[in-house]
Amino acid sequence: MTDNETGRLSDILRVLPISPGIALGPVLLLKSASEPGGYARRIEKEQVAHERQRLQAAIDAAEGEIDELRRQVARNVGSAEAEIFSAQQLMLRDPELLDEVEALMTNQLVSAEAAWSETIAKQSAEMASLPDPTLAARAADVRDIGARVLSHLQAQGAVMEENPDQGPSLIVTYDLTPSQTARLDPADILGICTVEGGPTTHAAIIARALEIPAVAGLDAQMLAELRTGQELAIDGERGLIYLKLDDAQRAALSAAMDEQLRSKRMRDTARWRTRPGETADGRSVLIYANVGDSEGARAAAEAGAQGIGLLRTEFLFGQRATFPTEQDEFAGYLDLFQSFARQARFQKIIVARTLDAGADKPFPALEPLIGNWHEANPALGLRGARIHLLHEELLRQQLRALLRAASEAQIELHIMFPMIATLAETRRMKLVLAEVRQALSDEGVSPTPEVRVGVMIETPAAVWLADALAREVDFFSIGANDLFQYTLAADRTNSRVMGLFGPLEPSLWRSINHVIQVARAHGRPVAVCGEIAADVHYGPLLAGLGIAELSVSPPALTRIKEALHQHEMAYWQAKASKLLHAETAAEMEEMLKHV
Amino acid sequence: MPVVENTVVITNKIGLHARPATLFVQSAARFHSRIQVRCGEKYANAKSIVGILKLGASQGATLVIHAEGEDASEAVQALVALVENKFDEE
Repeated sequence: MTDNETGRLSDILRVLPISPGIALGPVLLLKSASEPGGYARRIEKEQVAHERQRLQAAIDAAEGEIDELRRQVARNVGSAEAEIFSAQQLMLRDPELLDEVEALMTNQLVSAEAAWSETIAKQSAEMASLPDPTLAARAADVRDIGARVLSHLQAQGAVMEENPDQGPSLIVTYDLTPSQTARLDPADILGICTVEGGPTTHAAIIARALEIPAVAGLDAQMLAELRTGQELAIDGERGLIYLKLDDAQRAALSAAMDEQLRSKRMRDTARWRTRPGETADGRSVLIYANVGDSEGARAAAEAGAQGIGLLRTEFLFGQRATFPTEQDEFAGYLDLFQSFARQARFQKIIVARTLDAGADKPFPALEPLIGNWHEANPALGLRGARIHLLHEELLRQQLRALLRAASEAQIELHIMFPMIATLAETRRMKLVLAEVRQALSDEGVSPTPEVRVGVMIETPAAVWLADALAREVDFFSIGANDLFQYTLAADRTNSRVMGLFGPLEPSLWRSINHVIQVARAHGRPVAVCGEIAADVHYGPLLAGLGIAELSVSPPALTRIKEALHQHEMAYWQAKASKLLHAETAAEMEEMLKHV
Repeated sequence: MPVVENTVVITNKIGLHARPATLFVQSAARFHSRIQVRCGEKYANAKSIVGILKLGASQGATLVIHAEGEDASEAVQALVALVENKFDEE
């Protein structure tokens, strides 16, 4: 073996694998929590009562912290991991332990610090000596509460003092307690390397749950030689510490870390796919998908859509020169419904918007019926419901095809009408739907369980008719993109007025709020589809304002579920109602940043 | 003052560790009686998590639960039921 090889081998230490993964980066040395501090040991007899009070106050403070940690861990890691802290809370109130501390203080006249530390040291040592390794590992919990109470007694601040601005780091320390581990932000921590610790400790369990690579068993002498900022790498799978790295090793470990990050992101996405939309405190907000074809329906189901909140039925015929027959439509819808139903992880609810042609969605096949699309002001022209009413036979045909396909595919179909500006239009279309349902039932087509009827809220007219519309239909869906352009009286396809379109305007936010308030008074749910629903900042705020369902494009589904889960409903509510006071878009952006 | 004693065998897989121990102590703490648990040669105060953990009671171990106090009978009954029901986890 050459000198070079010997050198390289001694630069790699074999230690205990704790939590799998590679970490490579600058060292951050932390002072250990269990380091003894300087405190008086002897006390006078008349000081005992005071010491007892101090201890009680420290225990109360520690209990409050642990309770907070327990809730944090339950939220961010999992309820099983949070159990650790229930056990620690019991330890703080353990009668045997407290009796021992009390006896030391009163009989031997020692300070609260000394009595507490000595009792903790004795109890943790006894527990560490138990033959069962999982039980022996609980000694770390005893030491953890010990350090926590002691730090309150000594009125010391946080244990982590040294924190230079060097970005994500590899924590190197003598010992990490479960509460320290739980307080680590995985975004700042590349890995953990300790002297003490074993694979069954709570700290190890939390490191694994947070997917932070970790090793233990670093030589105490080596710890003394390491400095904050120096480069270090660990392999938590094989239990290796790389004290020095050559270029090839550095490249290999970096690549492994990148791969690790990629696969973690993929797993995170997978995790949100199987979960319903909810806030951190478990309040449900339905996350549906906007879909325009069978491929989109399949992707939506795969990505964990809880339903299709906006089926753009234009897809079938958009490019065709001639209008499809009812059978064409039926076949197209059936294929799409089945594509969704086959892979749906949640309910098989599909909200179909009837043909929304016109304006920015021209439709060649309609030209023979309604003339060409060249209007001076297409956004204000013949589109949506207005075409339905001009050619009711097209609406009848579409409704028949949709209802038959829903019955065949056994999905729950809801219908909504686009571009509503008057109550009369709504009533007329409801009537057509009722007639179509009756005819189908006469023909023996078994109806779907319940067809709810809704309207799109896209015009200021619909906003201010919300009460009348709420009495007429079962639900609202706010088409935020169109409502935005009609509220601002600015054509969103006209590049000369694009400057008016930021993510949000106070006028739009207040319109949405008005619709929600009125709908709530009538017991009607409100959905939002449109870009704002998929915005990770504004989507959750819509939920806070009272929106029951956000409908977004399939790639945004997991992202919006994750964003929503960041905070409790009360937080989103407070922030959403604060935005109602904003008078400019800039103020809204500002409020979004600081609340 | 009523004195009640009963015996129960631990049947859950992980024994009186971690979560089961927490549940056991939380349950014991609801009663006023003094409650003692014996496992082989070792004794513990049922309201002491440290004591209960140090019993090291694994699957198959026999616990003798002894309570003294007004609610001794309810206490023993509740703790025996908790152990018999495998701490509701299996």
